[in-house]
Amino acid sequence: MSSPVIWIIIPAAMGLLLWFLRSRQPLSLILAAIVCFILSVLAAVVPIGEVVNLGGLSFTLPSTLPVLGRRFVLTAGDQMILVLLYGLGAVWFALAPMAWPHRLFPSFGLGMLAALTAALAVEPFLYAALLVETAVLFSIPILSPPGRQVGQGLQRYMIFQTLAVPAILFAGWLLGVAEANPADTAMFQRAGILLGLGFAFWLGVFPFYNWLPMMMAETHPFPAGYVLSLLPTAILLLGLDFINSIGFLGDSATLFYVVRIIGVLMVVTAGLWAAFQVNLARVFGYAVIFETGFALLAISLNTLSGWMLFAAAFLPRLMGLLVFAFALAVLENQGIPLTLEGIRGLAHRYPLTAFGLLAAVLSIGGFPLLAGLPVRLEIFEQLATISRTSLIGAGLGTAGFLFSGMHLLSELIHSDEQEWRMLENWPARVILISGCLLLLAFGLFPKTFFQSILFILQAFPQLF
Amino acid sequence: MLAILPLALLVTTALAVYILRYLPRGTGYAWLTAVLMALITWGGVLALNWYEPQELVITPWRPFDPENADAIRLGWDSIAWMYAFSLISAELAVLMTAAARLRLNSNPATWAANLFIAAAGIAAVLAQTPLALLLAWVILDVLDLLVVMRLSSGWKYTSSGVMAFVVRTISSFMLISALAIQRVDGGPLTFDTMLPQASLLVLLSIGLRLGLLPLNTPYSEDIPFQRGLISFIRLAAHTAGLAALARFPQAGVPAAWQLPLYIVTVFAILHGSVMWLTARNEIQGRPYWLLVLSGLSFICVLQGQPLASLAWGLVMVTSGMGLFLYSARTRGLIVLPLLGALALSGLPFTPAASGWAGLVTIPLNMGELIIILSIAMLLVGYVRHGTRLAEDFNELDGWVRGIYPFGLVLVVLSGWLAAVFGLPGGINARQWLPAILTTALAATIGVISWWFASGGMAFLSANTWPVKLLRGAGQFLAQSHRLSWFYDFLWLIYRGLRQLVRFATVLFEGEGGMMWAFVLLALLITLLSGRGVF
Repeated sequence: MSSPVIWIIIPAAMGLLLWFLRSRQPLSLILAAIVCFILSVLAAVVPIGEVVNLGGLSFTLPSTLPVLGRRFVLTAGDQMILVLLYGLGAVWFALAPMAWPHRLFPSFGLGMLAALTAALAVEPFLYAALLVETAVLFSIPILSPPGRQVGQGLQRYMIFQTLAVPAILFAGWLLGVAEANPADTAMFQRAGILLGLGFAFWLGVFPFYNWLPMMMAETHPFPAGYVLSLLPTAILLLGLDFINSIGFLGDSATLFYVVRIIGVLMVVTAGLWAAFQVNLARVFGYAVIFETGFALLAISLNTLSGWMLFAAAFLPRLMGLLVFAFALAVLENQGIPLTLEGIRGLAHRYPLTAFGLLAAVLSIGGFPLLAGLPVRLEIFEQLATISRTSLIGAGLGTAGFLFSGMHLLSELIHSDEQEWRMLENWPARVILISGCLLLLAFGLFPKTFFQSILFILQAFPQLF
Repeated sequence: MLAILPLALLVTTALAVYILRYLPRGTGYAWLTAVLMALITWGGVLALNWYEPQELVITPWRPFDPENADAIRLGWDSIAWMYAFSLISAELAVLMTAAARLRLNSNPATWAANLFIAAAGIAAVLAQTPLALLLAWVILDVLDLLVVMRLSSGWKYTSSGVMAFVVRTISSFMLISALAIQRVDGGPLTFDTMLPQASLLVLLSIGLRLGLLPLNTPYSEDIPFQRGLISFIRLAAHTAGLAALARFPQAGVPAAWQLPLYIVTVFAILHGSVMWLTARNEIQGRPYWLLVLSGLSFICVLQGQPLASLAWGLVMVTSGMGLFLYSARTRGLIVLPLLGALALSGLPFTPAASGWAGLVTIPLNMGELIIILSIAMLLVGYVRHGTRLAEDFNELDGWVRGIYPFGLVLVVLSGWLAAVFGLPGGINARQWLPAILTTALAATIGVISWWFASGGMAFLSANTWPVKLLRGAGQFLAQSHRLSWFYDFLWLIYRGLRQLVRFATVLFEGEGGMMWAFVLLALLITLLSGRGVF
């Protein structure tokens, strides 16, 4: 038994098992949540590669699993990443019975998690491209379950994600050639460009992100929220792994300059587009782009505090998107149109959903008191020291996104009704209140909550 | 932890009051608890003038770059004490007079809300760093919005709340910009160390929040019948800005900006005083009362006398609250508004006396004359609103008649108490000439209106030519000051951008969208290559 067996093979096998149990939706969702929870707890408590004494039993958990000449490696440094990924899975599967209890979600969702963990663990890294593609393929039945028409957004999602595969594979091949002849710097540059292109396709980086809002408008917000929380998180971590392990990337000032420009462009365009958006599902899409833009800005700082910001940002990002997606799912399940016109005066009937929506959007926008501010504020401050133009760009994007939040606020409470009712069911109330309180707690006490997630950086020791 | 004990007391009491209302005869218990606990807090805050507790420091607030991270500090310096004391006095007065407004939506829920707001307001005045101030401001803003949403009887009033929230959010983000800009210098932003650009942003942020820069009074159409809760939250929100103003460094205003800001503020003050003077009643005039007194405090900072702003802030809270709560009237209580007016006059040995140091220097210039005229109009308006007919005090229940005057006396006298113990230099007679001039001018306006118009000073609110003239002048000033042209320009940009975004969306999400994405990529690469990146 090795760590890749526990965190890759077992969840993949469970995914397969849950496929056979797909007719029993609540059971399979609960099982998926329990498996993810256990894997997350195990990642937090069992040290990889060290002797573990359990009563009279003593064993060591090896970190490597060789497969057909390739290796899957999950070391002690990766444990926080595993906690994050499987913790994310546990929360989404646990909430699914209230938001989107679809029969295919547990099996394919777990399959996605296993494939993405494998992508983070595989060596040589170019095989990660194939594993990410596997995860993308697993996401298709979740995003477009049988019986639902496939829209243009989903098709573009598939196309762009698939285009990343040859780019990454070519980059891997070029890197191999370049390492054989280190004097040929042009080869390194070409490899870097292809690698960048591959990640641009994967992450939905400017200008390849138009599928994001389109896809959100075509699918149920909950599964789309799951995919758009998990996939960019894993790919950002994969990107960090590449920078960590490929020496010339970390030393390249050009790379970080380009990443900063792309980050600013994403923040500005996402903020601006969100400001004029009347479809809330599409606003979710822009929120993902906006968050990715800020993640790129944190990477572009290329300093210890920049990497810390990158790691810490996962917490508010994932929490914000979770609350946003859940609130949208509550509305979608009630047949309420996900447009600004459709939610007019909603706060009088669904006050907690309204607060959830608002708290999520404002938190993503970096509103004070909420989870997003501590990270945003530090990014603004760091940007001020290196590039005023980038600071202004990030500020404009933030203003646009907050404008969308204010528009949302005004529509949610736009009513002459005097009566206040609470039409959400009890589980939804508890989840929405907890989500809002967590967003508030993260925003008020960032030191307490963000400290632990910084351990993610242990997996990337070459960065600093 | 003693530094936040009053806040903890207020929040705990608020929760208790909210729960007590569910008991049989809960309203009575809730009121008694609220008043007793507020009284204890009032005494405690008074005592803190002589015993300054240790600051509450949370540093670093966030875990990245801890050496340069902004800190949260809450402390009881003289500025904090003075504003905190005036706020807790106003809060206690609201609760003591609450029984007189039981028919007008005064209930345990609004008392609990009042106590929460008092805690948030005091937290804001205790804020010793811009980050602490930012968080306290936003708590107040959210509470304000929630209160408006809950009490509003229609979108007409709720929309004012949304507008105020938006304006204050812009103000908060200006403060965030200041925090970011300051980092160019390397260190965190504090009130003592501000780069010129950062200090300008802080100043504009406060000015916007106070409704001065540019002129904005989102609550000019306010929720009716809310003398206690709404008056208190409006005062608390302005006090939160004024406390930050008083901490502004003496030479903190960039020299190039002093004159333009001065002119804009003076016009805002003049507009506000005309509107206050001609308002139908003190509740309709409330936004202008706040505007004028905040403006006077702002002028003090522009003149490099931030501590002088305390006097005007103090009068804004105590005299203002004394008038706003004075709903049931009788001849015997006339002394209360007169005492409030005396405090406002700035005559020697009155609370506002030390405020003149920040406003005028002899010989007077044009701006200072306008300020004196504005204060005179404010004074006349105060007396007019305080002496008009309203609800009859004698119709109140016996026990209410016993407690209600004490609430009013308490808030007005607290102003004097705070001035004696809290203002730098206490109450003095150093600047008597402008005070005499102002009072004489006010008396002249009052006498003219009393003797030459039928119906005494009531003519100021009637549809007569002096009122039309005054209001017209006020509206003209407001129009020129509200930057309508600027908003029209912004609206134009908004519409243009919206068209552009729609067009681009159709382009990128249409059939040729993927091709356009690659075209953009090629364009980006070309641009970057041109700059020598590749």
